[in-house]
Amino acid sequence: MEKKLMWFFALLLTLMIATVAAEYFSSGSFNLAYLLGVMLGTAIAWFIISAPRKRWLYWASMLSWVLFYPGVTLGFVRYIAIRLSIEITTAEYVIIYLLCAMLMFFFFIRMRPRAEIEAIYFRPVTDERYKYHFGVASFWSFLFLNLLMIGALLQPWIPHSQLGLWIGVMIAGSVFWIANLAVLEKKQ
Amino acid sequence: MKNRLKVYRAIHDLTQEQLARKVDVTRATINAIENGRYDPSLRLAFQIARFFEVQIEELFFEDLAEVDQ
Repeated sequence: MEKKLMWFFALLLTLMIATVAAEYFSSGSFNLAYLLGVMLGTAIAWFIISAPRKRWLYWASMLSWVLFYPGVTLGFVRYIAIRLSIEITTAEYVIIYLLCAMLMFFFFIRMRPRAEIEAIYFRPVTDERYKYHFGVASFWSFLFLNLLMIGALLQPWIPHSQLGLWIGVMIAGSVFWIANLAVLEKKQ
Repeated sequence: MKNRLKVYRAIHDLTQEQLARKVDVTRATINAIENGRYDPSLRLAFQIARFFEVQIEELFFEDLAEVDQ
């Protein structure tokens, strides 16, 4: 359980930081309801994926992927379209959604015969080596984040009341943490 | 620290993934141990030795050249 919780909080924190950053830099403010939605969605998804090791839950989560993943893709497409000032009609959105859903469906159907995928899917992915990496990466990231905060406080160019400054510090800290984890995973 | 994990795995005709499942770690961890990139904890080392039914020092041993340095 401890292993799963560790991954859950790491994922939740990363998604929360990404949501706050994306919202701030796209609209200049935060929507608390949106952030809570991300937290709730992550919690539900995590429960479906890693709670009890039951076969029906595996298929329930696969179905959720097929139904909801195209929604995420649509959001991304919409964001890009708005940024590039491209008009996309409702019919086109529906087509994109259906194509995505079909793609996911065929992907899972293709994977289905491999029985071991289910076993891998439900296996805890955290062991003592990962915990060691988490610890080392978190230690260096903590130091780095503190350094960044001191740097942000000392710098004369951006006012301290500017939210973007602190969000930037937060993003740099989490990117450093993720990069650290990736490097440790490759090297050790 | 050096080890004969790869040898014992070959004797028992196991893949890294299969061994990883037996001792409840990831395949990447078995790979890292075999290639000397990661020293397992005592608990895991004992667990692996117990699985292969050998003494722990048969599986894991010090590299004396490394110790002398």
